Amino acid sequence: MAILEVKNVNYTYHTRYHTVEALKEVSGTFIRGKLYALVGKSGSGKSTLLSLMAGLMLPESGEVLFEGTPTSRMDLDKYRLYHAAVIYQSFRLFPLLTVSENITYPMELRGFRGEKARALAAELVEKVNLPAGALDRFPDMLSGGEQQRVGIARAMSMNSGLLLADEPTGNLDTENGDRLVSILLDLAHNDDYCVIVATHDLELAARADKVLRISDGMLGDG
Amino acid sequence: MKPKTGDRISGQDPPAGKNGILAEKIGIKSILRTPKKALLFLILLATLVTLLTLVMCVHHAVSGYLDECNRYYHTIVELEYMGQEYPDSHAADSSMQASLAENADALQALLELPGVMQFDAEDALLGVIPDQRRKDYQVFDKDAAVIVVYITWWDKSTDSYSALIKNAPYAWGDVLDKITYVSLEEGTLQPGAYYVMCGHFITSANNFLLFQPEDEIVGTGEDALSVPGRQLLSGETLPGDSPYYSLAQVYKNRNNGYRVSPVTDMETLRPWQQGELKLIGGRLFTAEEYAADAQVCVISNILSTVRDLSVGDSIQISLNDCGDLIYSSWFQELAPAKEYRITGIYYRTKEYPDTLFIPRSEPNASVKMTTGYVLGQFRLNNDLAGAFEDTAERLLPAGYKLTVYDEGYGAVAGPYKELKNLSMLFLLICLLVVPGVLALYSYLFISRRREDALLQRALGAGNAHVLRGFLAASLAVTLPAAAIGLTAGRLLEGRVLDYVRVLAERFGAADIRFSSANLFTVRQLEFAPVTDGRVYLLAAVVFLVFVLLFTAAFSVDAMRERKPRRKKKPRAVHGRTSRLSGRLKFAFLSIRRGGMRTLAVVLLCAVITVFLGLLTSASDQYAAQLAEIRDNTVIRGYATDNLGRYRNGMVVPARYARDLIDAGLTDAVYLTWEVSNLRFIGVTRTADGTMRELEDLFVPQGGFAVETLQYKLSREPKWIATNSVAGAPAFYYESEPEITWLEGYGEACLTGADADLCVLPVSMMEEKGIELGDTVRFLCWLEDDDEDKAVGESDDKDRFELLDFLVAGSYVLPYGEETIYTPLGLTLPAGSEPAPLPERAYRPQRYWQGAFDHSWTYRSLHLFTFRSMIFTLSSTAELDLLRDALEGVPFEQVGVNSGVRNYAVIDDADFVSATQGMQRQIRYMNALFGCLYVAVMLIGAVGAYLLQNSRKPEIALMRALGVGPARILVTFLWEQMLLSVLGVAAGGFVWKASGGGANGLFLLLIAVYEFCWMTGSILRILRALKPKAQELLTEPE
Repeated sequence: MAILEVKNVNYTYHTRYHTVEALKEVSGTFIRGKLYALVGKSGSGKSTLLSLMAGLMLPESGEVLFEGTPTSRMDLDKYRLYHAAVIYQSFRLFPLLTVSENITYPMELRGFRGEKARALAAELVEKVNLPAGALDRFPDMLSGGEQQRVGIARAMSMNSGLLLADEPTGNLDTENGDRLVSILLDLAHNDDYCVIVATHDLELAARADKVLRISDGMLGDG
Repeated sequence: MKPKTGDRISGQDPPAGKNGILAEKIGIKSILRTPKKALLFLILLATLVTLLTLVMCVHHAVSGYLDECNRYYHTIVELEYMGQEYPDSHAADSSMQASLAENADALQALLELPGVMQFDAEDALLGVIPDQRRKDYQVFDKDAAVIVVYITWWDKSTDSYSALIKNAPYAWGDVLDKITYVSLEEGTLQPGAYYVMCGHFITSANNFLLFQPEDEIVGTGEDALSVPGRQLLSGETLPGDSPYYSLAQVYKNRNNGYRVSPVTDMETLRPWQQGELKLIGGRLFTAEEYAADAQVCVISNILSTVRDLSVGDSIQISLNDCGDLIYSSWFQELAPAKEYRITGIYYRTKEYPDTLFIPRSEPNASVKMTTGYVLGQFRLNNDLAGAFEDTAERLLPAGYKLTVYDEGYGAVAGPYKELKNLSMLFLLICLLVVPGVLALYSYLFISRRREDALLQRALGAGNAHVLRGFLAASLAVTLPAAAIGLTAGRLLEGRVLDYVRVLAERFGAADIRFSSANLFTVRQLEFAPVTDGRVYLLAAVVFLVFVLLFTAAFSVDAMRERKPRRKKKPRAVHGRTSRLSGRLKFAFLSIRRGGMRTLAVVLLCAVITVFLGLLTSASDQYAAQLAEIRDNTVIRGYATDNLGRYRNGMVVPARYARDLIDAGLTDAVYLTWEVSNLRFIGVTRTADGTMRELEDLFVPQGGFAVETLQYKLSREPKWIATNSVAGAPAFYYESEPEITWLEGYGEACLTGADADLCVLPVSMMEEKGIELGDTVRFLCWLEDDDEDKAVGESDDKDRFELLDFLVAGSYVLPYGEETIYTPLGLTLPAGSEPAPLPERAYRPQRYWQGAFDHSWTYRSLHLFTFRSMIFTLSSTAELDLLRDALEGVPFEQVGVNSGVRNYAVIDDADFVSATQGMQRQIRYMNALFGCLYVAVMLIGAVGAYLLQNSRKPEIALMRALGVGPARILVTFLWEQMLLSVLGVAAGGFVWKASGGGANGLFLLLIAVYEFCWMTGSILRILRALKPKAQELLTEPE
């Protein structure tokens, strides 16, 4: 069964001087165990589609279904908290929280706290190939690649099965980018995550299980 | 040499000519194409210019008005001697001479006090107009005479000689061939013999002349003679070389002479300054006439009428410098008469001696004795009058008095001085705000164009080109803003200045009816400022100079190549993961790890707490000081004459005193009643109980002997019945009167019924050998007037009476004449019990019943008149009620002409000045502090808002992670509340440790501040709670 389904989704941006149809009748199905790459030119609608899938906004028409339930009928806060984990291009970590605290923050929001949460955070840090000593460090003590891996660890801590990433390698060098893609693939293939990545990175797209191209707000196979 | 970037050598500037104004064109276009922002700047700057202009206009107008006041008003301080006849301007008090000599140093010290611009000693010359014989009632000594008499017989019944006046070398009236009685103090005359005598006629009730020769007359001056009071003649003809002719000439000169007063500035002379003397024709002297000691004069309407003189006429006057007391010098030959042209004629009042004024270039600085009690006047710097008065009061010897006449300068200028300070404060604020706002404007203006500058530079434009463009763009906004602002300022100026006038009236609007602060206000200068273009020009220049400076400075900065920012020092490699959990975890961690952000909030809140503490405690201190002044000030008032002088010899109906007491606003009302004069006869019983026999005293029963004795008694010490010696006029200016009481007696005994007590001056006791506790006998003349009869006091006729008094107290005479005080026998207020006195073993044979019997006199107060009245207000809070009560009695205010001729003054000038000043300061403070409180609250709200601004990414991330808005709000509010409370607590601790206190206002303001802080935080968090998806998913700026 598809974990995420997009059905005839339309989204238009209205500005004072003009109107932009960002998405036009976009449909697609996303299943667990695969890494999807959303590619397209700047302004093609990648980030808009990712925002709809992440529950940051609702489509104008059409539906985004999570495990068969439209997001429009769900509490979007809870949807984001329990089901949709997002990795951002600029990492988006709490600067005043340590790595461990950043990772356990979503867990605590869901009532999973204390030593157990910290132990799980340590496990996740190990899984994303960060040294154990990184747990007590603040984000600005880490390199960009390390910060992005903390972001993945935080996403994994949500154990949502759906991981969305917006240009995750955009701020990383090649080596760190490769390492990140490997982690994402590992998550999709070994941990049965559905990973959807919006990217300009052709190398990342080449390693994806499926490439979807967005052009002028229309979604098609790459 | 390598050319610098932008140097003209490089050829990067566009050539002058067709592209010469390209920079300006681009600059102006950039403004025209961003009309909304330009309009915003325009409004902001125009408002700024309007404010600056108005504040400058107000300051200029108020300062100008105060300068005008300084020229218009003249503050003078009159120095007077409080002699026994004070304030009689015709009196010649010989005690003044000795006092002046004794206190010369102290009086000289007054001249050297700061603020003294000039001292004009009272000076007068004897001016004699040839052939002028004065017949008016102000003739100095019209009873003086030199006569030749024929003694007819000794009249035993009158104790005097009957005589026929055969010759009168000098007498004011026509006495030739008239019968007169001659009364001698000592010696005898031969009936049937001729005598020449010098002395005084005594006005008799039955139209007979009574003449009393002097013992001897000794004149003053170098050519003065000593003339015996009487001399036996061989016939009725006086020898031609007799000194009595000289004496007659002296009498003639001084009785026909006028007082001539040389003045350096007539307008500032007290009677003129206070409007007691008014010009009814012509003019006063010109500056040239003063400078040249011109032979011009201003005369009285009386002299003008008598001599049929008009303005422009000339008059011959012989001016004689008496050197000392006018009328005392022995001029046998007068100075030659000179011609004086009359420039003005004034209306002379009864109180002022008929005086001719002449101009003088230099003031007379040395104090000398003249008639009356005015010694001279100081001209003071208006603003230093208060300081002079304070210092001078300390230096002033007893028996002297200073009175400040400022024409109303203090009352008029006071509020405007405060307004000037206030406008200066606003001007300073403006001069700080204007550069601040213009710097901000210039920064924003240029920073928006920084990219343009770099692009222009990249395209080869020179620095000057870019700068010109920026200046043109800036001036395209600022010049219209300046024009609009100045126009708005001009339109609003009138209204604002009207408001300033209203404000000043409100500041000076205290009730000063009957106030001593209102005594000498005689002139009012209207606040009528006119527009001064220079102020507008100055405002425009200040504004534009700052604009050009800041625009140029920021333009240069914008064109400067920037050095790369220094990299942040990396933080430590290790942190520490918190074990905290739960809803407050994020807030606590954020506070703990916030670093400068946390510190900034705590510091800001702490500083603001201390600041609020300072402001509120300043308000408290002022309020406490005001309360202290109100609580600790004793306000007195008194019945007075129409010039506001405190004096004895008033006529205060007793009913007025009763009504004032009944108003219930006074703590004490001290009254004096002048009974008669007392001649000391002797001690009848000493303090140890020894009785003494006194010789029988001859008391005449009728005729001239009675009148002679009456005349002599009138020169004896006054007998004053009072309910307080310390409250008597003689002690009014004494802060601590030296009064000693016999054991068991005190001031309270003066209100009781035990009336045969007296309080004597120490000088008299020493002279007569009297001790406290002695019983002394006096002789007095008691008149049986109708009023006394009506209350059943006595049916006796007018009579001489021997009275015995117990000497219960003594006092040191502060100044003036010796006075014997006895109880008034009046218990005030009605119904209160008189103070108990010790039992007395001895009562004198003649028992004086007291001026009043307290058992009935309170009800019968309407039957009497008092000679003085002082009252003390119970509470300063009831000052206005007292004014109402005085009006209701009715008393009249000094200077107001109405049917009421009883005047009263409340001596509250210092109190009114202090409280008004304090209240004004509190008002300014409240206004200023009100603004500061609002500013502090705004700082709190805006500060919190801005600090939360930096939390926007965290809030967005939380939202992205699915945290609900309520939880985010609570998390951040907890953090802000904890931080601000911590800051307030720290500030409170510092404030407390430095000795500050917390009042209700302080706590309220802290609560409001907390509220504002939280409100600012809430507003920002609420705004941040709805991030756009794009903001999260794209790289932040």
